[in-house]
Amino acid sequence: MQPDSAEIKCVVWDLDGTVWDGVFLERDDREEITPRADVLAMMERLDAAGVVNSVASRTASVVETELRRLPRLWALLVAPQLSWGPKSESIRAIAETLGISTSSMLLVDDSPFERAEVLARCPGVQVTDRREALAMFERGDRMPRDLSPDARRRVDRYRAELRRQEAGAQFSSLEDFLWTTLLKLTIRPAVATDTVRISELVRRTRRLNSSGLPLPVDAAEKLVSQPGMLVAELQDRFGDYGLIGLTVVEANRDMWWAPLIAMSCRVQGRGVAPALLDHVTRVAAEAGATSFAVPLRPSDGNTELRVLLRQLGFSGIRDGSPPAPSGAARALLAAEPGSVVWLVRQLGELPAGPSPWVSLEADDSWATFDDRHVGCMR
Amino acid sequence: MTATAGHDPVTQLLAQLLGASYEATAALPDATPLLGAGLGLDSRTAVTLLARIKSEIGVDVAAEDLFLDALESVGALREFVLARLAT
Repeated sequence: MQPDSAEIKCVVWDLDGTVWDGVFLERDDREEITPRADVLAMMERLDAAGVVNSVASRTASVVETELRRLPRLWALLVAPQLSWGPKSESIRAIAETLGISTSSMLLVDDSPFERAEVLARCPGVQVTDRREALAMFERGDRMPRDLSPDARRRVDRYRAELRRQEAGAQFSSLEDFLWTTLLKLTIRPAVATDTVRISELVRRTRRLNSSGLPLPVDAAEKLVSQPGMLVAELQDRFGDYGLIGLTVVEANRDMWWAPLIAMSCRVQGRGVAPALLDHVTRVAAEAGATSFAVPLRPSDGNTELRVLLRQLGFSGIRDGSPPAPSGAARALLAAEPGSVVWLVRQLGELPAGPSPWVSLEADDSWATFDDRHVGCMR
Repeated sequence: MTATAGHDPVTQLLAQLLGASYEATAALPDATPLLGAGLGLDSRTAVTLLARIKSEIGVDVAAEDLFLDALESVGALREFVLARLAT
């Protein structure tokens, strides 16, 4: 394996000869199958660190019934693949289910043949055997570095996502399905314990990120101490998504603006990003603002955010000069100011909200400013 | 893309994404909005449309039209791409 390989998000374990000794289908009928204690313990440590455990075994699908009888092991597995097909296909199926790239996966398998087949057909995948894998994890190699509480719950979220996909398959219209998911979006001012996650979210998002620049933890800390730093958390009947979005809102008299927007692509296709942006513009309108602007750095990656803003009725500021940023906005926009464009939404009569299936719970206390000046301008 | 002779390439791509016939898509009034009330493309589909226009027609709308005014309507998008092709 390459020593400089990327962080691993999912470890795919082979069963026979790896998770347990021997071959399950060839054992004596009365013989109990027992997963190896060192493997189980390592799976639990990976799970706690936000690394997903899965299984790819070339065996009969009846083995799943047996796996379910091993509750400690079964509880750790996400999207296990048991089939006689090529192992590379199982790896790809797991990657697709989890929405990750094969380059963030590691196959642990005792068979050099399987390792070679997967290596040849899954781009970027890493392979190793049990002994080396256990030693590697013991050293902490390629374990996740960002250990925010949110990242640690990643495995639970993958499980919830699988339940969602199963449920979604029963509905023909996405919107019909979304109504049944009981999406609940909570928008609230950020608190100190959100700081690490805020920095992480800005770093990890691309498609729905207005700035495209990293936000170091100390910069996030400064934002968190200001009233317009908002975070969004999402839940639905399948589980908790955690903190999935953020925006910074500032105001000066008639125009309010959001110098930073970042939304996780994990919540893609649920109408959550429009719901958040629409909500903050409504709060601005209620406070008497006549327009709401978003400065952003257009890139190949964030076209989707531009589309979304257009959908909400934002258009480019061409005539006259864009607002002069102050407070947090000044710091956020100071780098590469030439690459920033401004989009603005006029806040006359606003149409109905864009995602009626999302129920909103918003703490808008931050928006009560003296003289309608946002606190962060003091 | 295998462009059919006499067919406008933007209309052809749009028809494919909508799952509609070329004729029905070509018959849409120019003023039909692409997003929201109109064709109702969601943001993801609109991004896919722009990506395919870039790879198959060779016009990078997202880079050349920062405010995406070309997404205003079917006619605006067609006009924007054809104007770029003509230069």
